[in-house]
Amino acid sequence: MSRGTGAGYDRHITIFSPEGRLYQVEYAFKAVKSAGVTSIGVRGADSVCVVTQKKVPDKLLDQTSVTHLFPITKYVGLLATGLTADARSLVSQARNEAAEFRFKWGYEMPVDVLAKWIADKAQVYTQHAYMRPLGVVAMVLGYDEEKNAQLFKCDPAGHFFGHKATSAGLKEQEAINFLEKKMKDDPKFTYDETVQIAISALQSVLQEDFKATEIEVGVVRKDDRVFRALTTEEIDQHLTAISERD
Amino acid sequence: MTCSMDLPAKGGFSFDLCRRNSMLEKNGLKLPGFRKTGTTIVGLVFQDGVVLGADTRATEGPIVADKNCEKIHFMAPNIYCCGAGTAADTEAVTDMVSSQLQLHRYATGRESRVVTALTLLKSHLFRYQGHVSAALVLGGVDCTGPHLHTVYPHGSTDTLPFATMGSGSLAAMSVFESKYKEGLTREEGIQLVSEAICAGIFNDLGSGSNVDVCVITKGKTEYLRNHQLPNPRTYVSSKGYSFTKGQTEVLSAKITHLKQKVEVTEGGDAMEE
Repeated sequence: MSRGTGAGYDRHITIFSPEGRLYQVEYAFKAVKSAGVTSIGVRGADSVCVVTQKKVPDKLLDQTSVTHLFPITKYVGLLATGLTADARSLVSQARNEAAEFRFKWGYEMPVDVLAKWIADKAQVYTQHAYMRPLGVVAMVLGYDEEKNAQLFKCDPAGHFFGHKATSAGLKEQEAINFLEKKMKDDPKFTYDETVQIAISALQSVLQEDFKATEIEVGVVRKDDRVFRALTTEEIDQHLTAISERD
Repeated sequence: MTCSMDLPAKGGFSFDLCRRNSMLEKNGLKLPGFRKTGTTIVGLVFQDGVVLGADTRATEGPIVADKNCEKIHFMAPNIYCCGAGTAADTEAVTDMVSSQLQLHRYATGRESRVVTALTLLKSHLFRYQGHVSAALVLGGVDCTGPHLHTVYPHGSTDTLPFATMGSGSLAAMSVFESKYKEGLTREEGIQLVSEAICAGIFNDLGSGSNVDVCVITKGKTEYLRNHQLPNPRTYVSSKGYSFTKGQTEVLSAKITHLKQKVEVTEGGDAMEE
């Protein structure tokens, strides 16, 4: 009597299957999608923008308490796609690490260094018994005075790469297809173009128009390198500009 | 019946020798003076970067231990640090920070910053509350421009366009305060630094010998060892200092015979095996 080739290898996170897969890590990627949210990040010439849905599952919930955007330091932001509770834990640790970096080395933690730290933490989870991987894909964004605007995506397997544009979540692949067309000739987007490309990408992938309260937008740019979320009024202006352009 | 003994007090300070010391002072004995290390180290910002300078005398109290030591220490390819105070302390603390900067460059993939070296130095010195005797002039050029800092042994720091430290700092500062101006060229900067170090060399007993200079600009660092030699040796024997063998005259000789004191006798039973 033969067993299935995958049987048993997902009981422990740290055991490779005969095909060389870690099933628990693959399940973590599925958990990211199961949250039902899609996120998009776009990097312009000297600015970077991330957009995500804000799904409020219950009318009694206060909308201002639902968010996937987190400032890590004054200048670096993180967009967490996936399980919100896991994301809050990751954000809390990242904030401590960034503050420790500044105390020890005397300057703000660069975006790529923070992304590397997050990815390394995820990788350690893939080799430890009794530790579940976090079901979170993190996009880290900021403006680096040495390297210009930066956008990094870190995943539960421990990879992290810089991106011109990227997506995470439920309709990740459709969004990436859309963005590849827009980014074909390596365009130098202005700040407004960056924001509007990101929002229209999300509209296109989900095939619906949004109200300003249904999405969250985080931005960093050269002129104002503090990370911040756009207000509802600002999002409304961008949505109006997009609809007028079409 | 038992008699009680005077037991030494436990804890607190011991003042046993206070009366003795005051008695000795009354009888004319003076307290010995403290040892003083001397040095002149300086730094200055010019239009393209930073110039650091140092003398090359190392002292052990009144003794000149080394006529040509190095007081400008490597921290990073774009950062150097002059040290005054205990030579071992300045070298150890700059070595430690230098190695941490190298590891940090590996971890982040980018050039070291002067503010990082400053943060590490001041944290370390403050942790040791002044007992690490290292007074430093730290200079370098990084992605945020040229920087010049001084660090005191207790961990406080200054950021300045020109700076001096060490026992020759007053002599050097008089040169800087009278001649420094913004926008110095490289040659002017080197000349001014050399003048300041020479002021320390000739007016401070703790400083002497030669002038070392280090010029740091963006992407390039020049370490000008012994840039000036204001105290050349004035006499060198034309014959050199070698001596032929056999030149030492024997004045007298005394021979003492050593008597045999130990007799070695063969015999005895072999050890059983």
